[in-house]
Amino acid sequence: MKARAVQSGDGPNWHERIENPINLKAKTPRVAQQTAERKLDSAQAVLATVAREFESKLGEDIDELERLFAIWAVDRSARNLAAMQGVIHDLRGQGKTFGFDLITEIGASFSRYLQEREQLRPVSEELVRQHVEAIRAIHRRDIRGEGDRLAQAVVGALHQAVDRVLDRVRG
Amino acid sequence: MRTVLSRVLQMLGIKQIEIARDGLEAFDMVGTFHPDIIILDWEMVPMNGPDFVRRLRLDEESPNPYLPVIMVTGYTERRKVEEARDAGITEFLAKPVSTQGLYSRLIAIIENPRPFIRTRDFFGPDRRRVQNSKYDGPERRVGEEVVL
Repeated sequence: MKARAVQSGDGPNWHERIENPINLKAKTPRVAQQTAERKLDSAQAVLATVAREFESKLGEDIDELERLFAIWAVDRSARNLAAMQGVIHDLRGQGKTFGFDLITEIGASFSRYLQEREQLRPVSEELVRQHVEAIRAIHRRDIRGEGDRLAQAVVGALHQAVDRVLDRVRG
Repeated sequence: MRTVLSRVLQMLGIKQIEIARDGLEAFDMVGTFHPDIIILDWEMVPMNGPDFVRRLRLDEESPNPYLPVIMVTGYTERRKVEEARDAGITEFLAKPVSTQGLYSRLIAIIENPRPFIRTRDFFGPDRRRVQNSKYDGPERRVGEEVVL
């Protein structure tokens, strides 16, 4: 079935409206409410399992991050930085979903620094170290959710440190 | 997060799932795998989520500019939500991801698809989620305030 397109308006108000260009409803099998609820329960159980897996593997992931940081500190190649960035990206992506909001927050701060700095400027080892150590501290102290005031202050200080470095870069 | 979403989707009954490493690979896969829905992260390198959606919607060589897109992101600031909406995303799913949140967006896309709108500077799902049938003022599609 071809989608119906209707044009209206003139000049800057011109627009075209296309109704239901992809009819997914037609190709989606109908499922009973009970079946849908069962599937949702199964999906919820899977998410809980993945959360446990994330938690049990978090220490190993941070070990890996520290190992990659040590390698990068000696050989500051783009490849070594990207490897570290990959681990932090994954931790950041999952942290909040599995209860470690501050790890996501620290990962976001780290990504912001790498994205907004000028590419030709060297990456600050001290700033990277602070981010890695903060992630380790959150895990070691098992700080869940938004954490206590001290933990929030540490994360806030990281954001400020990134701001300062970026301000310097921008002149 | 890709693996997490993949496992949750399988449990929800989605049988064919393909994972792309980044926006560039995802764009290629739209033409080869022919997905019904795309779920993507905002943060991707080398092509981030909004850039991917803009290309999907506007590139003359886009294999499917109407493809529904769910953007998963930790960003919840209004500016970011508006940027994603203006790029042409279909649904926004804020982290932490929940099965109910993901499910409800899939259902919205299937059961209540929004029309696509093309203006001189936008192409994507209608940004007006609320249709006011009593409104009898002038039609404005440029520089308008819209309901999120």
